[in-house]
Amino acid sequence: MGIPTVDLAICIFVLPVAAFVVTALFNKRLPRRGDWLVIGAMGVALILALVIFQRAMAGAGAGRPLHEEASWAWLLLGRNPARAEVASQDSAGRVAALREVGGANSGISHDGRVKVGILVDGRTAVLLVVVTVVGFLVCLYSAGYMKGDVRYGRYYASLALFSASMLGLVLTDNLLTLYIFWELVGFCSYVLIGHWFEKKSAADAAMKAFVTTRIGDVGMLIGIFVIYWNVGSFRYADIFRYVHAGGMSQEVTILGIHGTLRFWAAVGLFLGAMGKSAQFPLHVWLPDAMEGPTPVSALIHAATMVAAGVYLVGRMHPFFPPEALLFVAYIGGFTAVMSATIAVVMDDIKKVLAYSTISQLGYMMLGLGVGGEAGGVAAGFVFGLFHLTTHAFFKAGLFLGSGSVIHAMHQEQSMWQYGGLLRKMPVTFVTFLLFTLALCGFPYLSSGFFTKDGIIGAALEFGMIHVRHRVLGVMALGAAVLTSFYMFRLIFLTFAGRPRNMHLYEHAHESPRVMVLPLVVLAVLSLGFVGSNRSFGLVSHESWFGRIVERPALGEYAIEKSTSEGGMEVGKRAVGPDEPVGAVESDERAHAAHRLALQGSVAAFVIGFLAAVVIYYLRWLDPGRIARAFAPIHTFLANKWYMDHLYRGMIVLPYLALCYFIRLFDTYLIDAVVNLCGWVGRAGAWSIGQVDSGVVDGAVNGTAWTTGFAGRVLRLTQTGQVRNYLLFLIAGVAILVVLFVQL
Amino acid sequence: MLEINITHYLVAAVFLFAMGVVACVARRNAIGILIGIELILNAVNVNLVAFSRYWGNLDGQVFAIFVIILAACEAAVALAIIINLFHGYGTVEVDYASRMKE
Repeated sequence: MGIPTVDLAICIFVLPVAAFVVTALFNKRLPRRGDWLVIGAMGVALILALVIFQRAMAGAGAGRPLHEEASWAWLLLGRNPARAEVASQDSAGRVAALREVGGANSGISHDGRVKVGILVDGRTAVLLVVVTVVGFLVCLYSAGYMKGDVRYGRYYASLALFSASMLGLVLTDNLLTLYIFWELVGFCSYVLIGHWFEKKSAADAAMKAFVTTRIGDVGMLIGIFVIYWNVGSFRYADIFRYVHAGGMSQEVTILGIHGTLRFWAAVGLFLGAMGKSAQFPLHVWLPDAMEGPTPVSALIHAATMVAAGVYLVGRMHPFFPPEALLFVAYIGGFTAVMSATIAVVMDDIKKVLAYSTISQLGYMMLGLGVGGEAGGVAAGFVFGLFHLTTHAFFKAGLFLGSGSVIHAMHQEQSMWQYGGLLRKMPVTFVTFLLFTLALCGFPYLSSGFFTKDGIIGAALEFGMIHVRHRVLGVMALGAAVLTSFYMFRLIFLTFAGRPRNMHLYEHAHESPRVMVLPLVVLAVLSLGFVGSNRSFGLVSHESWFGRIVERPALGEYAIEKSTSEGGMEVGKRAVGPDEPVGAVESDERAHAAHRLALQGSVAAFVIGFLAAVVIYYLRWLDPGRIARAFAPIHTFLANKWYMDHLYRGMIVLPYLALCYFIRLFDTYLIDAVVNLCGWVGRAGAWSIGQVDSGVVDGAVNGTAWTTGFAGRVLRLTQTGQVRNYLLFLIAGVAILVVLFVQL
Repeated sequence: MLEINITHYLVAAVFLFAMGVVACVARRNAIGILIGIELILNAVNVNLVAFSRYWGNLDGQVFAIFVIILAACEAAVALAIIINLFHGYGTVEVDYASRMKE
């Protein structure tokens, strides 16, 4: 009770880090390759996260929302723009006000270093619980699923690193460390997708995931830089204070679109979120990421990493101007509908779930995008984040359940080989059904109902306020119909009916306890009480989630409401901490929207369900004939709206062509120059060799030959004949005499 | 009457010298070569004595006595060599003495 929350948070972060370091270095020597270490670390982290959560709930209930911080000075970056003389188009008064705000930045220490730290508030507490719960359950499940895997130890080390990175992402209080952890989770995703890297498809999928998210990350980095350049700090609180004092409002026109600097920075940040959370058009990596092991899909690509983008938008929500939020909502809505249409025609069980994830993430973005305007401050905002929480549980459950099925059917993933499995795997079936009900929003009994209904309600209300954007509500409902349809299609094809592949069916069996237990836990967490207003001892207008998330967010908005110039609706008064949060003037509209949303989502559920029953259970209509009848549409959907082909044609092939030409250039130009140098060297060496053997050796040989010649000639005088010697003697004397006489 | 002066003696000495050179060079026989050498020496003696008479002092004659002594010694040595040669080759023809010691 007495341990400071920040210390608990640090422990939660450090435990998986330590587990990673030990497992990465020593896994081969540990018993069972150290999986118990990671599971244990996650378990303890889970307990600590629950402690923090309890504190958050208690604090929110007592009117003191949780808000703990700590920070440390770190990097010395070159210039601190807030303290430099900034030439700006703003009026002198505004410049002075901004400089004053900048001077109050707590993100820079007194000696100019950037400060990085931890922030624990309501949103953090909820995310901590989500990440640790799903992380722990997935680690447990993996002990059964990945048993006997060739790289078991490395897998667990990667899981630990991922958990640490995700927890770090959730805990930070500034954009700089957020980005660092952002990239780290992306890297872990790469490692884990490509876990079976001997399969080319898996290695390609890992590369595709990393590159696609990287594209988004570029935009995000630009956004972060723009923010730092103007604000002088990376911390969320400083950024909010700066923009609410009117900063970053210079108009910039890019590609003919006018927007403030704040708008473009927000769009940049959202690009990163689009990449990470698989929104259109950067969603293409997620279905391919199903090449990774199923627990990885559950953890990373359903519950946590893809949620990072949503979390970012949620954290930076007060920073986003309304135009940017509109952009977020439309992208979210379109993504939700688009991927739902593709899920309808997928044959692979994991691909259906992948597209479902993309669709649900679109829902979350839609919720966040319409939030801030409609239904009181941040109703859509609340439900967007709330859906993140409930979705994490039931989507992870869906993936783990599908993992059970895949495991039982010996790695067969095509649903056309399944059938009748409910008799063989009853527990998996029941939990899977519960998860499906949650995903489709079965009224009141499932957690997903409350959150999804909340988003649809917010979208409809937004459409009522801004009549031009009614289509957003339509998108939400349309996606709901399709969701219900494809999920029940999945259930009927997998669990109901007669088995289509008797050989596999006979060997199918229920999964071991380590795999079934997480399913049961998650199923409990997907039940209605998690989402409702009446849980956790509260009987009030708002849910537990709203209470601990919304109230602090109001604090960040309160500044906005009084001094905003961005076009926010004036007239929403600041709400005190004890009053129930509800729209004041627009109460009626909110009620109408929620009634419509309730009717709409129930209708959507029923329509989708009935359609799936008719086609896949009762078999009154044959799916094959329908596919042939609508062949062009079916092909379009089955090819995933030709997005992959588009990317291949527009980006991959030109890039490869460029690589090809550069290779030609390298081979024929650069290599030619290098070869030429080599050839010149050889020629030079050859000629010097010639000089050496010709001239120098010639001189030496010549000298020797001359000596030999002289010797040979002079030898002729050595005849050995006495009379010759006598002759020479006398001749010499004669010559001497002559010379003597001459001289 | 033809006056006999030094020139005649010198010419006579030259003749003797020339004959001595020819005998030295053109003979196969070692003793013949020796004879030639003697002739050369004696020619020189005649020359010296003639000049002694010409100049009116005894220098030439003293030199000539030295030459005679030298000639006698050298003849003795040469004859010793020739006897050795004869022992080795069984002949005194110098053509056979063309090989190095084996």
